[in-house]
Amino acid sequence: MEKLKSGYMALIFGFLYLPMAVLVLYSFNSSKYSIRWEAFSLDWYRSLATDDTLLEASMNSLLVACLSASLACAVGTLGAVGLYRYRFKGRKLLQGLLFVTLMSPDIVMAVSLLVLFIAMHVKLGFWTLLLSHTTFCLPFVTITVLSRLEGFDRHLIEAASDLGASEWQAIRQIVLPLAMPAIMAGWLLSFTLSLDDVVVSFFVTGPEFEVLPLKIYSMVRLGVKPEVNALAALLFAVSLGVVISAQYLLQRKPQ
Amino acid sequence: MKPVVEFLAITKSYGANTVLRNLDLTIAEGEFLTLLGPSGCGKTTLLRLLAGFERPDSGEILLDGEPVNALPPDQRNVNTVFQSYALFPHLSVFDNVAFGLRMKKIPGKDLQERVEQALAAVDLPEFGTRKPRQLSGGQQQRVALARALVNRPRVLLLDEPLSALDSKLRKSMQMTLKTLQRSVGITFVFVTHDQEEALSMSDRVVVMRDGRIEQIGGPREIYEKPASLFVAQFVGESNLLEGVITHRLDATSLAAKVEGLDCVLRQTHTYRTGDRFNVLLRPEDLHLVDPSDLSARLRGQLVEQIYKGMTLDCVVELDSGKRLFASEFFDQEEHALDFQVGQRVGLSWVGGRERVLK
Repeated sequence: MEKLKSGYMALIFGFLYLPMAVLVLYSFNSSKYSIRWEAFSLDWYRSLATDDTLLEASMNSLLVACLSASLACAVGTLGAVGLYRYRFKGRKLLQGLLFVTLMSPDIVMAVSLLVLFIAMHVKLGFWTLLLSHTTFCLPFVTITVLSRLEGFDRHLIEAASDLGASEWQAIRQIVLPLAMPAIMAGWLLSFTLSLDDVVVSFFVTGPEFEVLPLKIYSMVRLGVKPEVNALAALLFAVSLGVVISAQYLLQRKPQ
Repeated sequence: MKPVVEFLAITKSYGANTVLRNLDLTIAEGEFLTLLGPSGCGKTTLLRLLAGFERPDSGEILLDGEPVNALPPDQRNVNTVFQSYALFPHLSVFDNVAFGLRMKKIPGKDLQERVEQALAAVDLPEFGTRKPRQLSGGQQQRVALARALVNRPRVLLLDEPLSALDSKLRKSMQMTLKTLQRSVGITFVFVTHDQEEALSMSDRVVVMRDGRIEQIGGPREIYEKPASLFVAQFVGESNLLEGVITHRLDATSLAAKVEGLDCVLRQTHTYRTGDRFNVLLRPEDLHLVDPSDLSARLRGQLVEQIYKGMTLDCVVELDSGKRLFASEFFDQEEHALDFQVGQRVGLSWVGGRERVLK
């Protein structure tokens, strides 16, 4: 029975991680065309570093990911504080709508954003991409922050105002410090979401602003080059690091 | 005595649920006042109205003679100790206590001194650098107390602060609170549903029920002269006998029958013939005697004896089937011990200990 259990576990994790392992492994393979293993080499990583268009796309991706994560955190945290702090008509509805945007397929959001931008005659490019990424990151931040706030004693804000804190002081000195780990986790989550996104980016960005996932996509269409393996391996490493940090922040006990 | 707080005709509802009904209450300077009542009687709401967390639907609240209805909590000179303590988990004990002073922009040296004094007053002088989660429940409770008292409020509001503590700690915190209140001279308004706590700590007790005040009085008055059946039953153990007025004797006295016993009521109540009433007898006022004893007013069968250490609690079933409780203290004559369960006994009490309630 024990053997069966561990075998099953191995199967699941093998299924999940084998493709990545293969990808990472082949990113170090010196053979250019065949899937036959020749020798260990860092050539593909080197050629990545000298590819200007790839570097530019990477910088664009990082820029959009950082900015959209920060924007989503600013707006999303305020939203979470509002939903937590105030009782108003339609509060439950708003909270429900957050989950709807969270669950709705990327393609739906992508098309609707595109239609919106076209209708408003906005030129597709950096700004539309940034706005779109902020939009789909927003519910993740709000829900993460809100669920942390709801774990705290509701009387804390009352205690602060009882002790002479104004509304702003109570939020600044009590609510925000308590929510900080969740805000950071929300930021990291948004960062990876933005960095990995293909579907929405494909629709809402213009030709002069290319991001990494789209660049990879266009490279793969002409056949998988070993450089793509190396690039994907790097992206995987970054995502892994960020997800681990987010999990660490969320699981840390409130101080 | 000068009033610190006045509630004038306060009404408060949540939706269709009316929590306070046209309530008037005056709180005097420096007193320890307890709001006592079952859950849902409005006692916590009254406290929250005074703290400023809720607004009354109608009526006025005066603090030092000034209306405070429109003032938010941060502009009222009252502080609250919450049932859950509500200590800020990310701040040290020192910073928790200093929070109110920092909001008032008290300068550093003065602030340091006052926080240290407050922590010393609650017996936690060395705990400033700890975080709340590193403290026991009783210690957290005392930090919450220091955090409120350090602001020198006009009134300190305590919302069932002892309910989370075990009984031994509770007793010692009751003592601490009482001594602290005497030494700082601040008016305390204490909310509890525990009648023993209310009686042992307060200068005055306000018994509440369904958003109204049933009785206000000193602990002794509340216990010995309850104004209503509700107060009698809520505060302390009680035996209730039903009586009926048989006829009028003269201007101040009435003839009545209680448990088949003829008696004379000297009451100013406006009873008429045929009216029913209740007689309250506290268990400690009843004494077991021999059924043939002249002092025996009621007779019945001893059905149970419970040894409680300090007292011996007896249950006597009267001929009517009604059960009465009697607590005998051992420091008195030990005659209760002479009786056996199943035996016929008489019950006596010192005249005047009974209380007639409508």
